Amino acid sequence: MDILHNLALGAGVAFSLHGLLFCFVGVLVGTFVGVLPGIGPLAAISLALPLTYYLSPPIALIMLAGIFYGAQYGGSIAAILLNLPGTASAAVTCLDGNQLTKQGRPGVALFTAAIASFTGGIFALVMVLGFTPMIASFATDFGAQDYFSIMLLGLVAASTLSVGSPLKGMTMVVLGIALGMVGIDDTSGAERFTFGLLALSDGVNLVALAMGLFGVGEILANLGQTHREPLKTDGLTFRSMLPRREEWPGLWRTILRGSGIGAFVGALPGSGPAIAAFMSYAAEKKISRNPEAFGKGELRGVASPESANNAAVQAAFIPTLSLGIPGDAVMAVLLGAMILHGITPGPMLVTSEPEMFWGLVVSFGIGNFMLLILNLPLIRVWVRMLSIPYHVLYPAMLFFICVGVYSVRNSVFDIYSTLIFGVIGYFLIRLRYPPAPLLLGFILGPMMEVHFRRALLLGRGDYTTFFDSVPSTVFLILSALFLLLPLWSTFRRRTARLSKEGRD
Amino acid sequence: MTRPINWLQVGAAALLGLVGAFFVWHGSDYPMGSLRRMGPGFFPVIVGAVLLLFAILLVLEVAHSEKEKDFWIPRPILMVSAGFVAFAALLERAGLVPATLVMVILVSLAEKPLRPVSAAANAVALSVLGVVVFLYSFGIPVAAIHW
Repeated sequence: MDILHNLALGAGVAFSLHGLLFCFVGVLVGTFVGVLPGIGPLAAISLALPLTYYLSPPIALIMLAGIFYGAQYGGSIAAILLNLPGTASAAVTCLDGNQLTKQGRPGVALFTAAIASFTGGIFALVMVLGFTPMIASFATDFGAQDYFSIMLLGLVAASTLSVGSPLKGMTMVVLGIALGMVGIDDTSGAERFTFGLLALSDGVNLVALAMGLFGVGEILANLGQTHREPLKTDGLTFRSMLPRREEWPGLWRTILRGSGIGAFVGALPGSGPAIAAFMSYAAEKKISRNPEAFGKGELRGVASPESANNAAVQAAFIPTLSLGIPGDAVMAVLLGAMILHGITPGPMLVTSEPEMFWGLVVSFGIGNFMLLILNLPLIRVWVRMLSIPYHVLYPAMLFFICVGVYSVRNSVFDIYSTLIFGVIGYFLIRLRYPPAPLLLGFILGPMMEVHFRRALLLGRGDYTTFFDSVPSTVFLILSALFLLLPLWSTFRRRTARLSKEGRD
Repeated sequence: MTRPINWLQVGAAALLGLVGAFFVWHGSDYPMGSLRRMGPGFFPVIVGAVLLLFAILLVLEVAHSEKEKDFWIPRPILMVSAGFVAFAALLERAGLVPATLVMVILVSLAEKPLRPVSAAANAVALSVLGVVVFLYSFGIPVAAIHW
């Protein structure tokens, strides 16, 4: 059995002392940042990026991935107890989770969230295991034009499916691509947009950009805001956390449906855990016999989004690992981390770096078990975390950002660039421009340029080369649909409003 | 019922348009090459043009958008910037400990009310942590303190 052999290889990596240790560190840090409102997994992963220079690539990836899915577990805690989503994807969990807290059943909501997240994670793990090698072997025939087109699809989908204005999202993608061109051009060796600065000849530093936008920018945006009152926690015992017996059967079906929707949505390029959670909740409400119970403390309203967001997070690894196409900004940073470690992402990854792929998959299983233990018996520790005041936390985070970005290549220049990107990130947040697509464009941009030039070189300068292959044509048509859809819906909304105003 | 023009959003979109125009203008200084063998200038010009186009569309989209609340709160930006600049300036000249102390104190001033004791304690704790983690464990090439 080939797969058993591969799993044994992966287990060798994931169960090594380093593998277990850094998987634990990852899920621990992930839960921590997930619990704390105001720091997302992106900020935490960018903070941890410099540390990964001291680890071997598979271990580094195991840790970074652990932060990502750990944050989904943690995000539900603040959502349920405080009605504050610790991560964007936990926003849906607030609806019913916080209602349950108000009805005096916070423990049940927390227990359900943990079990749902765990099931979602394991479900998606099986999907990753089954689909990644399959898609990768399908994609080995991909030419340059197919790569260009699927990257375009990923970028368009990511920017138009995000919350808020699709046009702003797409503008951020293009700005990111533009930033990605700074430095030495891979194909010709010419220096572009470096303004004669030696420090820019390697390009804009990914760590500085990510930490600036998502670390410093977020902190600056949080600092100006009003403050939350500390939380009073009362007796959370394990017994009080178990759902009633009659609630169990329906709950399981909900969790499985949520896992399925989450894994499917998460695997699509451009749609992250937040969208998965939202879709799963909407579907559950639609098929429910009493939809009016949702939003008023329905346990299934917690189980559904929580299973979906954790499944989506792990399923997002499918396109990243099989095609080298990150679905969202977190995946883009992970991809950037792989590139920094000298690993070329793409369909060859599964076969050329088997330790990394199989080790990561096995670590998902281990990490989810660790999270279950961290979240059920130790829930009170996390609840206490919620009372750490922000004025202690944010100077510490800024300090780690400063010294972390310096340690990447011992460059003071990078500290200044982090600050500049932080201020830019702050204004982007205030002006409601989503910063995540910018990062996605920054990482995918240079790859797109290489494939674009190669495709046209092989196609003898003829643009129709992009329609010569079936995959490329399909991806381009899908991209066009994603581009036109928001335009069409704005148009419809506007005409509807105009006709309404006309009648009034 | 149309809202007044939101100059802030229009200005931001215009700024993005300027960035696009800059990429077109500066990118065209590099060799363009041909479609078959593109030079380093080709892609920047395309990307800059797309950015310019999106910026123009954005001006139309945001012209009458809702006004931003709390857009300009100078205190956090100024104090965090001061902390970063101080850290960058002191790190290699004075060492990690003074850089950390000054930085943490400065950024702690970003938020009202001031908490001198807690800020000082935080600064000392983080200096110790920084020395242990980054100097001894990771070995970044700076001194703890330059005498």
